[in-house]
Amino acid sequence: MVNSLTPSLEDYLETILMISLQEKVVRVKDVVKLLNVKAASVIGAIKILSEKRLVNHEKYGYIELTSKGERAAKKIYEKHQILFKLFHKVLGVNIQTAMKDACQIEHYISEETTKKITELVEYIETLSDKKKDLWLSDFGNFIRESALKKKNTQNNKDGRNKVSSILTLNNLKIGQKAKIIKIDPGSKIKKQLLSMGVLPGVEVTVRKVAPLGDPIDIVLKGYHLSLRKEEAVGIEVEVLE
Amino acid sequence: MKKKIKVALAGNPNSGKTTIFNNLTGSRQHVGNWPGVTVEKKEGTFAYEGLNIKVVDLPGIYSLASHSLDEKIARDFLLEEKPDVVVAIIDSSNLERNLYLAVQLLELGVNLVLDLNMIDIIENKGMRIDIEELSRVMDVPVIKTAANKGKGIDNLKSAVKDISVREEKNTFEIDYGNDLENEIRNLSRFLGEKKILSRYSLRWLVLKLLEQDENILAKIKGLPEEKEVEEKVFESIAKLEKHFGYDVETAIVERRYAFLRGLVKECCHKIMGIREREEITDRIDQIVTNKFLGIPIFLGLMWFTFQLVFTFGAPLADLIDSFFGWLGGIVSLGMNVLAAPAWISSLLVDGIIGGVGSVLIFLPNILLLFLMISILEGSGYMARAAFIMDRVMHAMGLHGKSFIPMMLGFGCNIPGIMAARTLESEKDRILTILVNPLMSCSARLPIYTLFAGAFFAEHQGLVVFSLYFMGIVLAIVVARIFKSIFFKKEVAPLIMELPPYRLPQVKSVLIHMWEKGSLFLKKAGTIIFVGVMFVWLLASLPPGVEYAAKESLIGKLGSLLAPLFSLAGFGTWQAAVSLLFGIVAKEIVVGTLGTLYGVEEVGLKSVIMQHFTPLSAYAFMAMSLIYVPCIAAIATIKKETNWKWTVLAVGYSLILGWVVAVLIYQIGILFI
Repeated sequence: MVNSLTPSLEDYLETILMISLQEKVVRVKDVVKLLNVKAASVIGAIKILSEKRLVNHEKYGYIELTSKGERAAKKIYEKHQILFKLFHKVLGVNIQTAMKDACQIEHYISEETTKKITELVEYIETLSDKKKDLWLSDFGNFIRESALKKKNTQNNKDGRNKVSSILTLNNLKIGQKAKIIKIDPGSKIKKQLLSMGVLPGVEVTVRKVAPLGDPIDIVLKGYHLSLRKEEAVGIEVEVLE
Repeated sequence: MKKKIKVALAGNPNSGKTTIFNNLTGSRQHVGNWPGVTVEKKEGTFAYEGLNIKVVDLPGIYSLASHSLDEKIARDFLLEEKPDVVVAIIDSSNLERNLYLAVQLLELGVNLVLDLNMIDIIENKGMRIDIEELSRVMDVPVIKTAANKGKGIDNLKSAVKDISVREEKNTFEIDYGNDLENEIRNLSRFLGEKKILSRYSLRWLVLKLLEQDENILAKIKGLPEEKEVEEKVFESIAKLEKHFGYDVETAIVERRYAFLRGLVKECCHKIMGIREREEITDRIDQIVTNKFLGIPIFLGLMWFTFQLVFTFGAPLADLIDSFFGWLGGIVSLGMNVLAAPAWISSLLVDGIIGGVGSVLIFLPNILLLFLMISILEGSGYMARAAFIMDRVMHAMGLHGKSFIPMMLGFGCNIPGIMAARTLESEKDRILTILVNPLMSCSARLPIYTLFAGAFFAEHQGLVVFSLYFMGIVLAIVVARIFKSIFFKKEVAPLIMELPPYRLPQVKSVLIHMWEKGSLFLKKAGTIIFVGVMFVWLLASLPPGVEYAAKESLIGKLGSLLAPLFSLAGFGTWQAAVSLLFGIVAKEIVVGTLGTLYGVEEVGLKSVIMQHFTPLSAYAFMAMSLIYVPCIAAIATIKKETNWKWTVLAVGYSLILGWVVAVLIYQIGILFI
């Protein structure tokens, strides 16, 4: 029964599938290389898998997935792909972590949850590019703002004297000087900001707010730049004075 | 045969690029469009020591990242047309950010001349730039100019000539640090061996791949090595991001700026800070963008613009008016003496002189309007106007930058619609274009001045202002409606430099004024002339009919349409016909009325006073404001968007115009 496979055996199955998708044949040493394990462990695992009729393996020969094995491996592989997409593309988790977590969770997640996640990811992918960006940056803003709120309430609990010095640019007051820490990596305006010198480490001063309350005028690198508060939300700064 | 070379001017917005261009080429320039798009392309030529030099003015840009249309145009031109020399025009008072573009140009592998423009601004403050050092580090010739004073232009010309024969490759390279350089080397080796996209500079190609530049990625797509390249690049990026802890693109930009900061420090014994650079600007801005004064000053300036156009334009217009009256009289007299057939006399006086004269008469107003617009642009106030108005424009579902196309729309909707190209988001662009015809263009001025002058002589300025204002209000309403129908949630960012205030250059203002004015004249000379001649023909057919009589073709057409307009108080066939021909170009409305009533400009006032009441005149003006953009505007909308939006623009304005005119008349009649 496939259900009785351990996570590590599932990993072997998946790896064999991945190699077979790219190479004509799968050899033990390919698996060794990709999983970075000892050859002996691979041979042990292959033995168990062939006992379960999931792979065929002649001594010193190629490893082949049986049709049953292929079905099982594909199931795991698909779970891995969808989890990786969710973590990396939707949530913005960095590649290594997304890969690692997907590798762990794929073994434990139920079919039902996988199906729901697939639907969510598909839904987001059907959105037009601009909508997708908007969705992602809305999401990013929400996270940052709620993190900020939490931090501030935390600070208030700790005592009034401790005030968070990390803000988003829109929260700066006129005349306040700050250092840019981070620009929201999901933001569509990142390229434009970067090329105009809005970079981590650069000092900015808020000069003015437009008569109607928006946009704001900031000074950096010897020039005035105006941007809307909703755009300034994507720029994290540390208050200097 | 003189040797020909091609030179491109590149620079940040507000770096004085246009002034340099004007200084180089003088009057030998040509304004057209970049192929396939409607962004203005300026080209010109000059001769220098046996060279025939063609200059192309690239759009003002901050980077070559090609995230906006302007950047894409500039980059494509540099990559595909390979100009012999590129002049990077640098605002000396803001070296670091301006040099950022120059660095990218060098990475692209162009043959560069660095032009430190506005050098006078910093030298007057006692600052100096070590141009030898700058030239040595960047391995390019460095020239100082003060283009607004015409200084240094000859040096620039000679530098262009010298560099055009440069053989050795530029050796300048930014050191991106060990980690990045390692990956650059790896990828360069790989791409070099495979000869992938070998027409580009290898190092530049690699950098663009690491920055994940969309255009270059698109070029990789479809190559046999696509997968391999993507994998390699991805591998490098993953490695670097793990190391840096943030994205590679930021890291690359950061290194460039870090290098430039060092370079600027090295080359300037004192760096011009914001305090020195913006001393006067900040003082002006304290007033002009003040919380309480900002909006009144803005509205005041708009008011002043229109007062200037009317009060100053009137005497000049009168002069042209009397000239055409005199000319018509002379020709008419001459024809009588020569005993020419009546139709020839009519063709000359009613058709040609009457028609063209009715348009030329408004040239002073139009020139003055463009004078004001180019002063507002050249001084740096336009950016403040966008800054002040963004909240409002944003609420309309537009962008602070939409204000500029709208403002230009007051001069003429065609440049207005074209200026919508400065908007990066297509949605903003389409909305701005759709409502732009509601900005009352100068071609509608003839109609207002005629009717307001006849019926509201005492309050002419006020009445005309109310029409402009009505257009703005309608634009807000229409934009909101369209936005909620077509684009529910999209918004483009407002990231805009507020340039230092500068005294607008007389020469630049005049050239700008002349360009726009001659554009109008060309229109007057062709479309309007053809239109008026067509009216004359329709009015003279079938043969033997009395000129423009009810029995003529045009009269029949007008009679057919007139009942539609009787609800708006101007249900005469003459009014209907003139509106019909206003579609050709709005300025024709007046000419047509003149032709139809068989009078010239001078007599027109008294004639229309017999046919309109003040109320129906106002309804007529409102109709003229709103209904269908002129043919040239329709063509421009089509060019900028597609048929769907063009049909919408024509359809909504026709219906809206009729509804508003009827409402004005019907409601007005209750009170009068």
